[in-house]
Amino acid sequence: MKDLSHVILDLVQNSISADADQVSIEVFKSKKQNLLSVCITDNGKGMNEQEVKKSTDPYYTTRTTRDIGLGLPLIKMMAKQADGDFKINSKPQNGTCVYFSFALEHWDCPPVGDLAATFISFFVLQQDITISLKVDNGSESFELSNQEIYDELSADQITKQWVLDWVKELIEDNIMKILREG
Amino acid sequence: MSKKIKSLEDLRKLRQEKEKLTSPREGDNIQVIIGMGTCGIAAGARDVMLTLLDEINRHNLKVNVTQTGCIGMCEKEPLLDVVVPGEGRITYGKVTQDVVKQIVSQHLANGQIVKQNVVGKIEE
Repeated sequence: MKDLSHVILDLVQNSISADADQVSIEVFKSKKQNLLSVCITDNGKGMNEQEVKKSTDPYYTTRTTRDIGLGLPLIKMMAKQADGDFKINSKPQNGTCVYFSFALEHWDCPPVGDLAATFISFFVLQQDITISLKVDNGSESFELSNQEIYDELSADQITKQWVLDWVKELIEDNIMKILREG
Repeated sequence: MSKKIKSLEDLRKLRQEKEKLTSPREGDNIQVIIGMGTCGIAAGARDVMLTLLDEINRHNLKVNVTQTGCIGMCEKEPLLDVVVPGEGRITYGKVTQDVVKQIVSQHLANGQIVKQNVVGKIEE
């Protein structure tokens, strides 16, 4: 995975596979605290203790098409390499929260990447799920959710160019600005 | 301090303007399915999808875009399926942004399959 926007896209797919219909993504970035962190919380079917332990083992997967799973092991490795943390909190029927962080000034701290592109993928492909994205730099924050944008549109307008351009601009002007200043 | 989307008002105005414009061709929708598993994402599926949306809009086509997870052909990602009603399902592999432009202009707009990137076909 090249950057955090790709990792987020990947991990939200896990939430969707776990039957979540609400996923919240929080990105925190602060130079002062030397910290970049991401927290993805869903209301999916969750995992028991044993499944949580196995989830970062690349030779474990719930999929049936192939017998290795790489999403979580990869991100755990990235976090550990950059003096960060990696935690999973999950209970059966209670959803899952995946948290990972990096020391912002570490060589191996990944770039945030194109969050607008990732959000637009959710916006187009995950219309039945509420996906919210929040960024915070310690002094300012901004939050948006796909559903509050759909409320303003008819179903056939969602993939129109003028809508996609508007969403992209909204993210550039708010979310990316907060991350640049953080 | 958390700001709400204040520009939703702009979106409402934009919508009123745009609704006066012509709508795309009618008919049964073509469906395009993109592989968005870890393998697909790592291979560039996200940017292929954005290019796909651009091209669909540029050609003014009516297409449903949906996603699927890993189907086990990771080495051929990014994978993209095109389902034309009445014509079965074509699976394309190694779909770069250039290939997706070809798929939209040839297959979606003109019904001609982009042969060199086909990895499978399911008859209806």
